[in-house]
Amino acid sequence: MQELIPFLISGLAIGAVYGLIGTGLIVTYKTSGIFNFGHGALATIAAYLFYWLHIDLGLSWQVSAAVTVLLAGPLMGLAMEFIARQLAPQRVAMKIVGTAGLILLVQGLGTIKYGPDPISVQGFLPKSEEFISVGSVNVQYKYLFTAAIALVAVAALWGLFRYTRIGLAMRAVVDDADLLAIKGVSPVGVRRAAWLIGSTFAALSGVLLLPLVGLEPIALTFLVVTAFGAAAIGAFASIPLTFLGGLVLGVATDVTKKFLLDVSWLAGLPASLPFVILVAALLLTPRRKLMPASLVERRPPLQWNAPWRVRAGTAVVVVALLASVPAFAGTKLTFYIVALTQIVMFLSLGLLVRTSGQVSLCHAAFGAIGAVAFSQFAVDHGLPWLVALLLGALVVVPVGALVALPAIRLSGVFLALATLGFGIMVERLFYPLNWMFTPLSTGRAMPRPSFAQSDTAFYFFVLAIVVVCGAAVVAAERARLGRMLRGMAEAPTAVSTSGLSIRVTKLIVFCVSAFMAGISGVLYGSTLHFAGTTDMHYSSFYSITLLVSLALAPFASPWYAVFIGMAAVLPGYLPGEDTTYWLNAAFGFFAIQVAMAGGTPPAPARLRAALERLGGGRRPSLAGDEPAPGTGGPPTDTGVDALDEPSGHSVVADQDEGFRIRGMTVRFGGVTAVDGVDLHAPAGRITGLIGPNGAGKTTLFNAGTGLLRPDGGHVSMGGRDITRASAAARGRAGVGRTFQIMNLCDSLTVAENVALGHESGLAGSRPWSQIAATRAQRRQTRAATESALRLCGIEHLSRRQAGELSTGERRLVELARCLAGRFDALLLDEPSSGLDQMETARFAQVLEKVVRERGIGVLIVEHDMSLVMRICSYIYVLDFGRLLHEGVPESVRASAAVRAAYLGTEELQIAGDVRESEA
Amino acid sequence: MTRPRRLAGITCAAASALVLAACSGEDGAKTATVNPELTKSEIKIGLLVSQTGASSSSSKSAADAALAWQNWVNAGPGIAGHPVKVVVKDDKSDGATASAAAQELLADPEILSITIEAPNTEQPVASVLGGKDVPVIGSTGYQTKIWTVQPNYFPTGPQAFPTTVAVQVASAKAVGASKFASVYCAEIAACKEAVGLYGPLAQQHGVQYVGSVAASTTAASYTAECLRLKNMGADLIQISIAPAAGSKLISECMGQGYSGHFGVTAGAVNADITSTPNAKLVGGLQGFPWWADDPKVRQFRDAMKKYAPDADYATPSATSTWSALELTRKAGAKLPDAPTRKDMVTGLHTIKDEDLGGLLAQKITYTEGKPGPAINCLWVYKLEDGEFASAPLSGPSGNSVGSGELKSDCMTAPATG
Repeated sequence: MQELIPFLISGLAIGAVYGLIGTGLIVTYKTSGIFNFGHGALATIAAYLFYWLHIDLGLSWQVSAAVTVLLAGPLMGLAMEFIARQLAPQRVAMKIVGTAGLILLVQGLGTIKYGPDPISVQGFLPKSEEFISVGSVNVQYKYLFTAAIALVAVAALWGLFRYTRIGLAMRAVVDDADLLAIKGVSPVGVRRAAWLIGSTFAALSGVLLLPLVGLEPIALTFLVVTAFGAAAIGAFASIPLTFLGGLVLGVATDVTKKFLLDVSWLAGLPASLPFVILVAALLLTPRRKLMPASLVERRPPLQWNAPWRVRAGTAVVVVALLASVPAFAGTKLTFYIVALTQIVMFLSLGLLVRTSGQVSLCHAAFGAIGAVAFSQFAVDHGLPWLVALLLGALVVVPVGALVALPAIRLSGVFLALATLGFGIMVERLFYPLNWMFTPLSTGRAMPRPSFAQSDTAFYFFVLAIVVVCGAAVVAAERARLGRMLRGMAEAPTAVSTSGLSIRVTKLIVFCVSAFMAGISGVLYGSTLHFAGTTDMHYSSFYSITLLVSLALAPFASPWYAVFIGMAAVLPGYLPGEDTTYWLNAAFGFFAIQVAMAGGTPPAPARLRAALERLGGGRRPSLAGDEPAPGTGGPPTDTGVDALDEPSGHSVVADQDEGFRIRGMTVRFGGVTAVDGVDLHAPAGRITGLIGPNGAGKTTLFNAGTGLLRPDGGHVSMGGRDITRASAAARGRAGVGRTFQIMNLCDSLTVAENVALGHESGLAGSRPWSQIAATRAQRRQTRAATESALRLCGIEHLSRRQAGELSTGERRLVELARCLAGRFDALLLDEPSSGLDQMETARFAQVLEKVVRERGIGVLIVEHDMSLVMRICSYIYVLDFGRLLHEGVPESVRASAAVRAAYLGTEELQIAGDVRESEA
Repeated sequence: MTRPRRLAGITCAAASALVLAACSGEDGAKTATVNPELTKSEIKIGLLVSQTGASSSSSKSAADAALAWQNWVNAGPGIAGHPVKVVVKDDKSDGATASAAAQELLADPEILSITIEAPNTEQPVASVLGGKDVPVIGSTGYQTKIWTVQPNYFPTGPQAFPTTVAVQVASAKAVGASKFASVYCAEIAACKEAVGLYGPLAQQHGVQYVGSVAASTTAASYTAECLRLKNMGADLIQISIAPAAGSKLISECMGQGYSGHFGVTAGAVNADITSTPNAKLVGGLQGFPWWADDPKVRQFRDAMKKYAPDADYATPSATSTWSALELTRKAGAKLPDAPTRKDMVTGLHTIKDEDLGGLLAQKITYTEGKPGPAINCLWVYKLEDGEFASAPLSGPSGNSVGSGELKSDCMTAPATG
């Protein structure tokens, strides 16, 4: 035990700083919903500032520390609060990019000022470099001081939270900001206070870490990233647990080091241990604790694609221009080859991030693994170059699948954290091993193909691969896979309940993306003939650079990749010694700007119009130019007699049985939301489910469609028990639904949205079914889409993007999507909200006709009592999660219990409330 | 801020950043005062150096030394009556940049030779320059497989394997140490490249090898490593991690009661580590000792003080570059009025048993049709109480200086090496 003391003390010191950092991080995350990936950058700014004041200017450490922590810290907090406010309504990817951009900005500017190599800094506190004897070992005072200061700071924060009004307000703003506002406390002010505290803590961390790790932007930033593990242990919520988590990380790292010093193949484990813990914590923490802090997001920007003629012409021009590069590049050709390899990398990342809405901060590791595997096949085993290339990239595929595992249960910032942790873990644990980059200083030999040894020949070869990859990505995006990926990105719940197994979709996209990243890693290594750990293109930091850069790129696929990939030639033409760092700083700065604006600006309207004219004279429109199943144009008949034959149904054992719930119970903590409810929605009938707000109707729907795991009860469809089936499997079993909070793909056209209702079920859970559709399936989908559009009277909207529609129109699109699906029972959650009288009447006609002619069952949650009484043959009434009454409309109307609980004088008020909330 | 204004701001900021980046560049030699008697055409010599980027602190002083040498030569007799211009290219420690820079130097026929001080990019540069008509003359050569294989490479300094590894162990004798241990960086596989050699080398030099320990360069504490090294009984700890981290480790190990020496060799010898308070260092230098009381070394110091007063010349990178350029001057002594690369190569092949009076650690001979020789010699130094001193080992010198500060020591590969 005696010999463990120094490790415990040094571990506790650094662990206390981790706890300090983690605490600051969760204070801001919980109050603002923004997870600050740039928290380490704030600490780094503070470290630089302190160094400048104390070392360069010679000010006393007291003055330097006071200015840094008490002045710069809060100022950074104010700046961060402003940035966070702009980022708050943006999509998750933008929130990540906006804060990760800080890392690049600080790294760039810091390196310009103080160079890339670490600068060691002596302890500045009195006696901090001196030692105190503890038994047979010596402990430096600086560790004791650091632990004590961090402990005091966190204890003060804990006291603030527990015993002060502002602390109470901070806790309250997390739970219910609106309620806080009603009580006269400004949530904005509270959030600002949280950012001031969080940034001051970051500044203090930077100053404390400086003598421990020295001055170096990336190391300091990543050391702070280590504290993310502490926040994960605290489930991103608890201050005491986070601090404790920090201590555990610090001690575990140092004590592990003691026992692993003789195990050379595990030499990287101590440094990577916090990231192993981070990934493990993210995988093991209950999913409900890893929900996004805010569900409110701004809709994605409307998409515009140039006419195909323009795109085809552009492709020819771009490829021709790229093909002419060797004619003028001269000695800069290497930069162009590198740029081409990075285009492949950006295509890979773009498919994952832009198309499928996933996040990866470990793509550089994919590239490294691909390069190493290739070298082993080509050099160690002497396989032909192209075979080695393919095999090398294939080796990355299971790694991509491994990363997809957290992606299956995580999303947004937590997925970003998991992938960042994974990337750093691979870098620290595996890169140093002999079988990775070899123990040679040159790294791994990366030969070029025998037919492309010269730079010029290799350039053309890589260009050919770029063209193939670009074409493959475009083809994938136009195929079913692309539609499923976009559906998963923007309306994951909808496509999932429509039958798409998004676990498989995530697996596919991570594997495909990893494969392409592997190819990029191979090509990059072959460009330089060798691949080694000192090359930044394989570093974790580069993964951050890739994601941030990708956000800056305008244009649609694949042009964004070409645009941002070609930025790699800039250092060749900007000869300044700090060009790379200026570029990093500029990229970081722009990334923050772009993220705050919600993305890159769309093409100017005049340019769009000009390109439309050039491409065939089509009227400028924001709608996509995919051939829409609908015919377009306004409806000529507002009736519903255009109903086609059903577009196909699922195979069910007993169609007449329909959808049934037995003894369903759902609890949230101590609250029972649904209590032993039985419900039956047979085929050929419209069944109503009514009840006051909070009665448990949507909860019952969610449990019935597999979005919630109930605490008890059974669900069946057509007599087949689907209680244990996933949401997607229930969709494929014939249960379709709409949502109270609409779930549409806003960047897709109406026709594409509606088609998703049908095609998600066809895509199902088999990988090959998700990738491409057969010709027959395409016809089937088109017919189902056209029929549903016509049925809902929205053919004229088919080419419009869903994001530009009114609430009423969006409701109809959701209904059409549900009607296009191969469902035998439709669960409609407040489908008439936002519809006007005419639309409501038409909606009623549509439902009656669908039930009559298709013979399906409908279960409808609705607040419009007149509508319910008119179309429903049977009604269930829920109150406080229990079934209050069931029967034909007349019996409901006659029920005194129902009247007391819900109808009567309250009816109008409830209807009014609904209309207000929709407005 | 409205979006158009914000975008305008972005554009301006981008333009500013790029202009700043462009303006901060320096792509050639500083203006020199040329001896008016040097009326012949200007000779260009390329220098590829890691002035910026990772690990550049070890090599950036080479550029200052080269520019000082250029001004010093031009103020004197030049090279065969030609004034000289050193074209400096910064590889930024980046493979693609290094490759492009090497191609630029290669593409300019007026550049008669190239000197390299870029440890991280030696391989991609060799892929460009290897086998070409331009002679590559020193300065620091890390990889034997390049420097003794490529026909147009003319080594002037020791390669990392086995020489600079061997001296790490051999230097134990210079300070009376008997138990050798090493700390190598955990992040990079190549850091432990030398570990396998320590056992045989220790046996060869009569020193006990007690083990090696991996350490992360970003670790906040080196307590574990130091205690382990102390428990091993080591009295010489070779530091094979980044200098700033090495400095921290040295401080911590001394704090844990370690009182022996620390080994720091070749490119790692720079102010980041040599300024560590109370550290006792020992190791090998691939460039001549800059403190030596010798006329030629004094010339170097005077030139540095005069032409590069702000530069830190107390590094082996600076002195090895100086001696490589001096060898270039020697090879070009008979260059014609319109010299070509071929003339320079011819001049290099006249170099026989040359050590520049002690500025090279080994007498060098270049023979036409044969690759350059392996350089196995270097200088052993020690640093105690903040003062550098030569610490030559017993045995014959590798150069013509039999004793004193410029006496070099030659290493031999271990049996398994």
